[in-house]
Amino acid sequence: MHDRATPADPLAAHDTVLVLDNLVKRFGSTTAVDGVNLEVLRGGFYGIVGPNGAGKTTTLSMITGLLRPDEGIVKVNGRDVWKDPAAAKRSIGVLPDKLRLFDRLTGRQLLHYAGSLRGLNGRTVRERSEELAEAFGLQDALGRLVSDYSAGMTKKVALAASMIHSPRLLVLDEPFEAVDPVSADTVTDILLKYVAHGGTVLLSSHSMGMIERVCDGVAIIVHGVVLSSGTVDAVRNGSTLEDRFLELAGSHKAVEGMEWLLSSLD
Amino acid sequence: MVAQLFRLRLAFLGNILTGTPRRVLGVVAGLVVAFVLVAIVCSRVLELRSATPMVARSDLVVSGSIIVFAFVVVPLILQRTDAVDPRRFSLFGIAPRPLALGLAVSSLVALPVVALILFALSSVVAWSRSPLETVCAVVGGALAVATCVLVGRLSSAFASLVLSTRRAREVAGVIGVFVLVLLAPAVVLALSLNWGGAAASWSESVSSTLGYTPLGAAWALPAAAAIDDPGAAFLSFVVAVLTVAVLWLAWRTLVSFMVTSTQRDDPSAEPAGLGWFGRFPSTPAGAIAARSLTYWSRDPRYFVPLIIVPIVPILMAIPLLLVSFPPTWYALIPLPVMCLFLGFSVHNDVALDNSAIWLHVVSGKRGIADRVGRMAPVLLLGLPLIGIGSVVTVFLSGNHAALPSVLGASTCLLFTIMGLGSLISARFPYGATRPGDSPFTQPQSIGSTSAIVQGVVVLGTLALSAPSIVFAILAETTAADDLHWASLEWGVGVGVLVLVLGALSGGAVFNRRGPELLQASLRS
Repeated sequence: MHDRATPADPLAAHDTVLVLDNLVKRFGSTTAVDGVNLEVLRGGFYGIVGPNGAGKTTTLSMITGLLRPDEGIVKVNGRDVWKDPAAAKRSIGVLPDKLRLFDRLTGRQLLHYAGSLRGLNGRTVRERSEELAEAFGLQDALGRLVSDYSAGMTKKVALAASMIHSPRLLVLDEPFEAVDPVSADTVTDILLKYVAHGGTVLLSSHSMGMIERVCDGVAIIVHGVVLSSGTVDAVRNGSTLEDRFLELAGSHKAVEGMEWLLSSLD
Repeated sequence: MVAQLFRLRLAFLGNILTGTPRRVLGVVAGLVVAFVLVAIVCSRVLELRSATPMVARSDLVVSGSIIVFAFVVVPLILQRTDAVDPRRFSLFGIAPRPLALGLAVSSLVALPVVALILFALSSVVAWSRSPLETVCAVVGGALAVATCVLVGRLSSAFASLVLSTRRAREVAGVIGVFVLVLLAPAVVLALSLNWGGAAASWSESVSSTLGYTPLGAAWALPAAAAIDDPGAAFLSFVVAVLTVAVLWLAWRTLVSFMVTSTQRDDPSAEPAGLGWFGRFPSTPAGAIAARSLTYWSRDPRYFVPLIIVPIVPILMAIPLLLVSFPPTWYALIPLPVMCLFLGFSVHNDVALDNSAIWLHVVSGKRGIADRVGRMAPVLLLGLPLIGIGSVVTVFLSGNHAALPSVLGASTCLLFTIMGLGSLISARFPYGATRPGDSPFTQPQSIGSTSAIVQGVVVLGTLALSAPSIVFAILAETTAADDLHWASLEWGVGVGVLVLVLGALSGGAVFNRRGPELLQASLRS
C-alpha cells in the first residue's frame, strides 16, 4: 500500500508535474507570496506546511487558476496555468479551503455537476460517482443536501468531486481539516493508491505528523517565502518535522504580560 | 375475435364507474360535462342544416379537421398506458390481422369515439338536404370515423412504443406543451391576418384546402356534393379512402411488429435521484442549466424575487387607471413589463453563487456554458409566458391586430435584458444576498456598483428595445397595421441578436475574468 513510485530520473522534464517559478502575490502593501519556487515530480506526495497566514492557500490558489499571480509562472505538465488555462486545468483536481460548495445540491447531484462540468458523459459520471461515494463512505449521504452534511462529510464530498475527472495532479488545501481520524485514514489510503499509480498530490496541512508519515516531499513556507524544501528526510534534518518547523518559523515567544489571567489561577 | 374485444372494451367502459364513491362522483361529473359539451356541439351542427352550403362547409370541414388532429395529438401528449396495447395480446397467439381489425373496431365504443360518432351523425343530418348529399354524408362520416379510430390507435401505440422510456416521455411531453404554447399565438396570428372583411372568403379558402388533405377530406365529401362540385367531391373521396387504406396498412404492420417484438424498457437508463440533472444532457451547459433550475426551485433567494413579476403590472395599473388611461390599452402593457422583470433576474446571477463559483473557474473554459445554462430557467418560464400571455393580452384588450407588437416587444425585452445581463453580470458583479441568508436581507457590501449596473442594464435594454416599442406605439396610435409587423421583426431581430452576442461576450469575459469574479464574490 505504501509503496511509492520513485521516478528513475528526477531531472527528466517530463517527470516534473508542477513547476512554480518565482511566484509573487501582493495584496495592497502586504506581500502574501514572495517569490516561491517549487518543483513537484510525478508520483510525488508533496506537503506544504506553514504557520497561519504564511501564504499556503494563496500559493495553492495561484496553482489551481483561482487567483491571478502578480509575477511568476505556474506550469502543470508543461502547460502554463495562466496562459493556457483550459489545457492546464484539465489535468488538475482542486479542493479549495474556505470556499463554498453548491450546497443546495444533494451529494449525488454535486458529484454529477462536477463531473459534467469537466466534460464527462452521463454514464461515466454516474459510475464514478457511485465508486467515489463508496470509497469515501458517502453512499448513505448521497441523497441528502450537502448543506446538511457535517464539516468532515462536506470535505469528503468535495474531495470526491475533485477526483471525478481523473486528474494527473491533485491540489488539496487542508484536506484533513475537520475530518475524523478514521475518515482521514481512508482518505490517506485513497491518496496513496492514487500516487502509487502515477498520480501526484500537493497538499497543505497543519498536521506535521500526517505530513511526516505520508509525504515524500515537503516545503516549509513562512511569510510567503519557502524556507526549506526537499524530501521529508532532508528537510527535517535529523530532528522531527515539527521541531524543524518551529525552529524555522521562529519558536513562540515567552508569554509576557497577562498577569491578570495567571493570577486568577492562584 | 372482434366480438370478444368488443366485450372487453364494454367491460372497461363499465369499470370506469367502479371504485371509491369520490372517484365515481368525479367520473360522473366529468361524463356529464363531456356530454353537455358534445350535446352543444351537435346541436350547433344540426343547426347548420338551414345554413348555406358554403357556411356549413367551412364550419364542418374546419371543426372536423380539428377533431382528426386531436386524435393524432392527444394520445401523444397524455401518454397514458394504453389498456388495449397490442403487446398485451401477444401471448394469446392471435394472428396480427384479426387482432388489428378487432382492436380498431372495438375502439368504436371508447368514449372519445362515441362522441365522434355523435358528431358524424349530426353532420349527416346537417347534409341531408337531398338523397345524393345524404349518401355522400354517410360515406364521408364513415370514412372520417375510420380515419379517427385508426389514427388514434396508431398514435397511442406509437406513444407507448417509442416513448417507452421515462426520458423520452418527458422530452416529448415538454416539446408537446411548448409546441402548443407557441402554436397558440401562431394560430391567433394566422386568424388575425385577414381579420377584416375578408373573413368569410378566408375561412372558405382554408376549408377548401383542408378538404384535399387527410385531415378534412372525409368531411369535405358531402360539402363538395352540396355545392355541386363533382370534381372536388371525387378528389376528396379519393383522398379520404386512400387515407383510411394507408392508415389501416400502417396499423396492421405496427400490430404485427408489436406482438412479435420483445422490446422492453431499460430501467438502468433512468438515472435515479438526480432531479433536474437526470433530465438535462450531461454536458457542461446542461449541468449548469440543471443546477440553475434546482436552485430556482430550492433556494428562496431565487424564487422570492420572482413574486414581483406578477405584482408589478397590478401596481402599475392603479395610477394609470386613476388618470383614466384606457383599460383596453393598459391590457397591452403587463406582458412586456413582466418579461422585463423576469429577464432582470439573471443580471447578477453569478453573485448569488458566492464563492461556489470556483468550481466553474477550475473546470476550464466554461464561460459560454455558464452563460447559456443560467438562461435556462428564465427561458423555461419566459417562453410560455410570452406564448400564453400574448394571446391573453390581445383577448383582454380586444385588439387582435396588436398581437405582433405584443409578441415583438415582449420577446425583445426578455431576450435583450437576458443578453445584457449575461455580459454585465460577468464583467461587473456586485454583492448579493449570501447563500443561506434570508432573501429579504440586504447584501453586506453593495456600494455604488449595484445601482449603476442595475441602471445600465435596464436603460440599455429599453434603448435596444426602443425600435420595437416605438413601432408598437405608432401602430396603435395611427392604426397602421404594417407597423405592428415592423415591431415584431425589430423585436425578435434585436432580441435574438443581443441574446446571442450577450452569451458569447459574457462567456468570453467569464473565461478571462474567472479568478477576479471569485475574488469579487469573496469580498461580498
